Amino acid sequence: MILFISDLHLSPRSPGATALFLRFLAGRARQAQALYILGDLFEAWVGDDDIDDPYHARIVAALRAAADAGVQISLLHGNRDFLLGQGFAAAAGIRLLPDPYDLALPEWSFVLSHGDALCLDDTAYQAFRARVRTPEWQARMLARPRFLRRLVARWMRWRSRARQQAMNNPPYADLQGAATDDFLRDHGYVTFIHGHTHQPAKHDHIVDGIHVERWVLADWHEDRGECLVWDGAALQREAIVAENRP
Amino acid sequence: MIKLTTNHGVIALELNAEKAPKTVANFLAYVEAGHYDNTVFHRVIKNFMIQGGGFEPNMNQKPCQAPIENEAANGLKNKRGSIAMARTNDPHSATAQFFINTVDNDFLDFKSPSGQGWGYCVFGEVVEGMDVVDKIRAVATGNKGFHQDVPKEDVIIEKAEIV
Repeated sequence: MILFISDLHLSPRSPGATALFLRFLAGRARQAQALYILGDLFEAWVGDDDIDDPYHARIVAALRAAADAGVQISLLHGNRDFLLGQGFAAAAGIRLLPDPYDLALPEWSFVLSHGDALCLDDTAYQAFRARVRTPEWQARMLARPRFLRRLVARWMRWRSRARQQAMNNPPYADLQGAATDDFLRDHGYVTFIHGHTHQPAKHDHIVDGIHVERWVLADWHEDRGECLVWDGAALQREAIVAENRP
Repeated sequence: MIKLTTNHGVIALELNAEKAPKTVANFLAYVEAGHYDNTVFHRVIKNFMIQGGGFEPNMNQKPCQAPIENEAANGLKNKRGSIAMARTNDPHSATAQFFINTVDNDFLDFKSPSGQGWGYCVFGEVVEGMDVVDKIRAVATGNKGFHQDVPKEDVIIEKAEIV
């Protein structure tokens, strides 16, 4: 059994989603052989030296515990946490994957992505993305002191929110149709799983006469998360909710 | 009075609207909406409590209304036969799930308005049918999906009504 999640946007300001994820790692996830996190695990990541932050340390320890229990955990970068590096991966016992990533299982093949690279209609974001994904930009950024990087991250989030509000846009532009068809063709018409748009759905594409499924993962909220489960035969959504107890 | 008709018999509850006004109003709203009809006691621990009101027989979780304020500081105790609200780690997160204490559970009572100290809000008690509660607490349980202490054979609340 394989699980896919994305868009948890974890931060100290989301204690509910954080608790859901920690319980997920200690419980549900342990029943899977592998867990794929398709981007935006964190609301922000300013560099792997932030592992020592107590909040991050808890998440890293929980990932490490699940990995030590035999769950292979893999992570793709999102548009929020693209600075997650090998230091984080080593501490958490996970592996970083390139985006897109071709996942060929014995019984079925998938292509995994965060999804932001295909939102080509958002030209301002694509220009930003092209700039910050270069090794030069990242090296320059990581060379700055941490307090400055935190300020920059906060300013970026603020600017992104302000821009969305000013444009009266839905929070995320959707994937561009033609580019998505090209993408599916390039990856051999396999099932496409991605996040980013916060619009969970299953889309059916016909590319060159071939039916291709595209599954969009759900974003996590304070009282509810979701994972997509591959049981070897089919994909199925599963809700992650807080347990009520005395 | 509230009448819970289960497949093990009838449990009658007296609610304390004076001591737990918000919790009682919340519970009555779920009763009136028919929320509890065809739900199960999904968590049964013999010498602790029986918990229900959130899942259908196939362990599908039912959608709930907004969580309510925790009124556990009302002085009511989690003694045998009392009914209280279940919740997540957040003290003010109770929605529809409730439990009936099968023994005195002092450790669930309010101690202080912080974290672990909040306790669980008692809002009524069983006035008839404690024998039915005792029958339910004794059923065989096991794991179902990710849930523990789930009755092997469904314990169903067929109908919840105000009488």
